[in-house]
Amino acid sequence: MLETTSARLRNLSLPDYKIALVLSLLIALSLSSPLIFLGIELKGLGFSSLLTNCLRPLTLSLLVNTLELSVLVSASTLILGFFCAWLIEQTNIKFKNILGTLLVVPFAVPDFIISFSWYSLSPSVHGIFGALLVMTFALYPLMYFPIASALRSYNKDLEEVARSLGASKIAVFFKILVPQLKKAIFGGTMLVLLTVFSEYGAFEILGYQTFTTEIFTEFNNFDLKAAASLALVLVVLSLVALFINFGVESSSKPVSNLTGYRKNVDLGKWHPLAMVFILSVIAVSVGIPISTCIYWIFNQKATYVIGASLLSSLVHSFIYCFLSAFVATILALPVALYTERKKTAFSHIIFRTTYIMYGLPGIITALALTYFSLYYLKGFLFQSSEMVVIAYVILFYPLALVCVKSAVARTSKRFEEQALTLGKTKTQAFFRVTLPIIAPGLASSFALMFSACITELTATLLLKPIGVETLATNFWYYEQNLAFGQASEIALVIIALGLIPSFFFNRYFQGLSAKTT
Amino acid sequence: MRVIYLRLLALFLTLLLTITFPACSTINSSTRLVIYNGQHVQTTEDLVALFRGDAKASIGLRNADENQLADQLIVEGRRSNADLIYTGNTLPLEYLAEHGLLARLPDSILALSNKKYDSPNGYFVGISARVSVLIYNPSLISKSKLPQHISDLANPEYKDMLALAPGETDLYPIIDSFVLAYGKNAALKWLEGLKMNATNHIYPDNESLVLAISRGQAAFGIANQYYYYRIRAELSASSVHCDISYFAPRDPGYVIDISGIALLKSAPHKSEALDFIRFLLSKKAQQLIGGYRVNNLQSISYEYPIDAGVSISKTEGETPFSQLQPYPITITELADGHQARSLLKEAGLL
Repeated sequence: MLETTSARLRNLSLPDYKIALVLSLLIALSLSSPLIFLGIELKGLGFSSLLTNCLRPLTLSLLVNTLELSVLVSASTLILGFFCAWLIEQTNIKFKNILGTLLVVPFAVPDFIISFSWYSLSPSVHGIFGALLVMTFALYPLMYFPIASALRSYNKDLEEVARSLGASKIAVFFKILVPQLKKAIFGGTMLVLLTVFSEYGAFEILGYQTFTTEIFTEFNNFDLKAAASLALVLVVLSLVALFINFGVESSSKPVSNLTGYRKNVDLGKWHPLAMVFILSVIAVSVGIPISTCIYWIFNQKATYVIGASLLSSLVHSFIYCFLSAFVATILALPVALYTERKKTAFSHIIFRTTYIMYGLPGIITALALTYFSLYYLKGFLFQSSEMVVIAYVILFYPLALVCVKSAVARTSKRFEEQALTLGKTKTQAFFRVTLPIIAPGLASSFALMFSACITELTATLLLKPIGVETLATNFWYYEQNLAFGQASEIALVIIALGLIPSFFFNRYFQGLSAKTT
Repeated sequence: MRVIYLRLLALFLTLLLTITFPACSTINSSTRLVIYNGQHVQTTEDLVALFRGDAKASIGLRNADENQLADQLIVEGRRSNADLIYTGNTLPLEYLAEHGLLARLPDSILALSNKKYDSPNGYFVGISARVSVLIYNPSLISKSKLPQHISDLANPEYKDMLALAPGETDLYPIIDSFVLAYGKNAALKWLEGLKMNATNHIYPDNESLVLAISRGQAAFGIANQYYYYRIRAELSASSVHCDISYFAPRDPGYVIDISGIALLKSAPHKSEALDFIRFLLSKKAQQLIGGYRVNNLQSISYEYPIDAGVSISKTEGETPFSQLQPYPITITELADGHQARSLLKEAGLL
């Protein structure tokens, strides 16, 4: 009847995570199931043919191209993303809500529009220089989001302590702030790397060859086996990138900012300059694509309708993206909890397995799901809306995971344990202690997933039910017809739609923290 | 307080979800015909609208890149729900035929078509035709300076002026044609020359290529004639700066490209599918393709009707089909584009 505190504590730990472990395993396996399809394609291929496919002279130059660009883009997006996140979350810069929302817009802009608008400006935006420029301004939101999310609940008390002990501002920056952001930075870097690996539309226009552009060439050549071979190389490359341990899985647990006390850095005389910087980033990353759209809208002539009406595609896009974002965020919870709280080799493997399909072009997932549904499930879910949602979750899951994981890293088992000693059940402890802390992470995850899903095209074209159009597919029909004006109208709607969840959640959680100050 | 807000939010989200999820399954079970469509969506939609007329018959289109649709069909195999595959080039159809996925069309349909542009074994029929031309920007190069022969495109005098879309399927018949005329080695050398002339002007498709020429990024490039007419119809006159020029008569670059349709062996709705093919070969459909007003519908495909009896509408001043003088390459000789692609890879363009 009477239990001592220590006895209660002993009843915790491992059994709690068994459920999370099983769930994580199931999720990881499901997410990487398209690899089975690759295996099937490669099965008929002899080992020597596989080697011939993989080791063409072109492969080496593709490897160099892909790696070179990935490393450069990771560095540039890190610098840009960090700086912007710090300015928005840690300083007293004005109009945080609006700026914070605008800063993630580039992520909701379709590939074609981004690269074409850059290319229209000047033909010198080409090759590796062009690719670096375009990718930096298109992908920095991937760094911005997790870092901003982490900074939002970052605990300044440690800084105060360090300062009171005589540490300089720079020492505080590198020894206190940066280490607490390691997970977010690591997560963001993985995303950027894999996005560059799987990028296709932009590189086509910029004339930059990577593994994925080559995979598409093979698909267009009806050579599925050659495409699968190259995809295999890409999988290996992704795994290597994923397993490089930056030493971030440290054992020290950072304490979360539970008091909600936030003392922002006063920019003082640097304020105008900071505003100019942020506005320039927005102008370049958002202004250029949007002004290109507006140019085309004013220069269009024809006004017929192809595909579905704008309203219909809008509704379907919304439904698909909303559901995918929701499902992915929910599925990210067990994996985030398990991989954060239990640092075993197994959890590391599970974590990284969920990233694999993100680094591969969507067409592989689409063909895999088609094959599974027809040949393993007797046509169940074949070309259905559910299938589209499943595909989106498989393709973009790491976006959800990195946000939730970085938020879970802010929490500690100790708080849940304390709640348990105070008489709460495990469920109550989770909902009343952990969930409120990770809520900003869940919100960021939802917003990021939503924006990513809206622009997905290749898999959607192949998997969606007949007669259903999304904004992205309708956009493509117009673009194919040279109806750039009408395509641009849709592009603007896509961008606006991507903004909504971001704005809403930014505002809600900025408001929350302000209340508790 | 924060927790209450979160709970309300969670409740709201769950409600929203349960409401929206059923709305997701909009699978149309009354679909009578499923067409995998690699042709321009607008063209096919107009043809389907004409075919359906006032009937409630539901015809489903799956629109995507024709090569990716072919891949999809290969993966779907005999369990595919597709009845027809309609493409902008015959190459994917030839490939699918080689893989045994197409059904041989009945003689009654083959009798209606233009033999010259059909599959030699009766696996697909041609529906419309395009011709390869040069599209150029008059302010960057004058008509007299344009190459008259396809082989001249590799000449050093055109360095930095050529726009090229190596991934565009429309290009492959031209390459095959070149090989037929001058041989493989010459073709490889020629492609390498093209690569030199088109550095910094490589595009993913003909849409971007034509747009780039119009915006003055490159001086000229090869495309099908209908792109020129489309861009002038789509964009305002002030933003279009390009013109069209034909190759010398019977030059290997002067190639007729065929858009065709085929029946899948595993088609669930065979008779409806054959009805549709019959319709596409009929005078009404051909007239619609040719730009005439039919049953209150008008299409802007700018492609040539395959029916010799229907000439293209004169509205845009397109050269009539009968006046074209293309290189005499046959559908058989065009095959599935494999040769063209290997050459492009060897030359480092793909």
